Amino acid sequence: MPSPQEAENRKRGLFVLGVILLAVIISGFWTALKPAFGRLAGDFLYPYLISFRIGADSLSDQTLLVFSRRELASRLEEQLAENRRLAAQAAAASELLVENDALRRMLSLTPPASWRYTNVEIILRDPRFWNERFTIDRGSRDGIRPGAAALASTLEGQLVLVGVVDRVNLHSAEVITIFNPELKISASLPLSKAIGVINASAIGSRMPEDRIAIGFLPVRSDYIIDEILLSSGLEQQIPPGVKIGNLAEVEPADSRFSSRVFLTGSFLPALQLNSIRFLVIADRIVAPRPAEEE
Amino acid sequence: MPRGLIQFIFIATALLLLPLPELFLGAVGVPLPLAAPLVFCLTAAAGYRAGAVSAIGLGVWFDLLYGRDFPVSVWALLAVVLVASLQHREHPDHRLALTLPAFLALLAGEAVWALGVMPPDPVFAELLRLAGGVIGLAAFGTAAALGLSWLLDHTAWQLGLECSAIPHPAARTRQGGIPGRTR
Repeated sequence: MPSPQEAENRKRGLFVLGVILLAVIISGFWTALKPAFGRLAGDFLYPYLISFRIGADSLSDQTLLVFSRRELASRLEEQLAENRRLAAQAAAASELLVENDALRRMLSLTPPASWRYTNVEIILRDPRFWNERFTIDRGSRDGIRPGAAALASTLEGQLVLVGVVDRVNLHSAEVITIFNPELKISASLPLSKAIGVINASAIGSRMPEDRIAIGFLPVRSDYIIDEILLSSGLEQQIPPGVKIGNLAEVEPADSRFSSRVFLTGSFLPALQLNSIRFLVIADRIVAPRPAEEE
Repeated sequence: MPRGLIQFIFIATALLLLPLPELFLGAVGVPLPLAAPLVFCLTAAAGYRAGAVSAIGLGVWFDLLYGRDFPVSVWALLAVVLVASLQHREHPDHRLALTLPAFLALLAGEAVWALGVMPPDPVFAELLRLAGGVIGLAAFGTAAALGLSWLLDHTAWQLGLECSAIPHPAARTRQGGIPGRTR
């Protein structure tokens, strides 16, 4: 007959075993659990995150009160002038689009894809993986789809590729960034006429923190350091020609003594994501094919 | 209402509400570890069973919210429960006696995190930086644990619950003997 102490120890042991088993099962089935339960968790917390964000935005808007009326009026006029300039540029670009569309129809070519842009704000970031993923305040109800490109604007007003939408909830979505090793997309080097894959590097290669690996670069020795990396357009959901970064380094190629077919390098991203807050999600709109002329 | 049900609602409410500041402030770049100190306090107050269930629930919740590729939080919080339950055998008579157990438990949790985020081939400088982060977050979490312990204990006393890390002062003196000594 086991003593009470032995019975208690046995119960404790069984409980500990059960907890470890449960943790192992959760870890094993995590990839399957994450999509459905992650959506549930995201949608549940969304109202609280948005409320907090509204409060934080109101607080930061109060900093405008430190400026005088003259300063605020001057800034407003600068912004209005900038808006007029951009509106004129957009009008000129839209004329080109109309002309391009007419010429394509005349040649019976498929119209190019157009893009719908949605402004979003980051509402949740993982403090442990600060640069690798974050949550935005738009979801499937706002037309956000998995795989859509996430773009941000530099101080000069240039749009750069930041990441790709991963999981979409009803009111929010998760974006994985180019710093996340799981995101592997193609990038083109127009000057070198090469295409590589971001985050595809040789196993065991080390990368400085501010750089991202690029792999599957064709073997050649004429890569230009600091040349611009652009989105290649091979991924249909990512607009082509968007800046990603600048080439920083490519391992030397010596084809006389190596049978390697590809090289690995690294690049500096166009934008550091430490303090980024607003993004633009680009969603591809496929135009209907023109009716074939008889 | 049965006391067990009140205790369950008390613990569930604490688990739902108290980690929210960690989420909100983490989103603006302010690291405020609250989940691990909360799990430590619950283990100290209600035992290792409550601590383990809280650790799994809170860990899964956080990892799902952040969309992490592996549930590291679950294992880190279970490490906190393990070290806390190995140390904490008798109810201490003052709150500062929780400092060292809290620090060691939170150190274990942060060490699990460091193992999870460590690069595949770390150099000495990276290991030093990780170790500094582990110790710093554990120290910060210890202060949070003492604050949370005070808040939870006082709330539990108001509700007439017996699950508290420190026995109620009246309960200690009622037993007779020198006030301030453990029962």
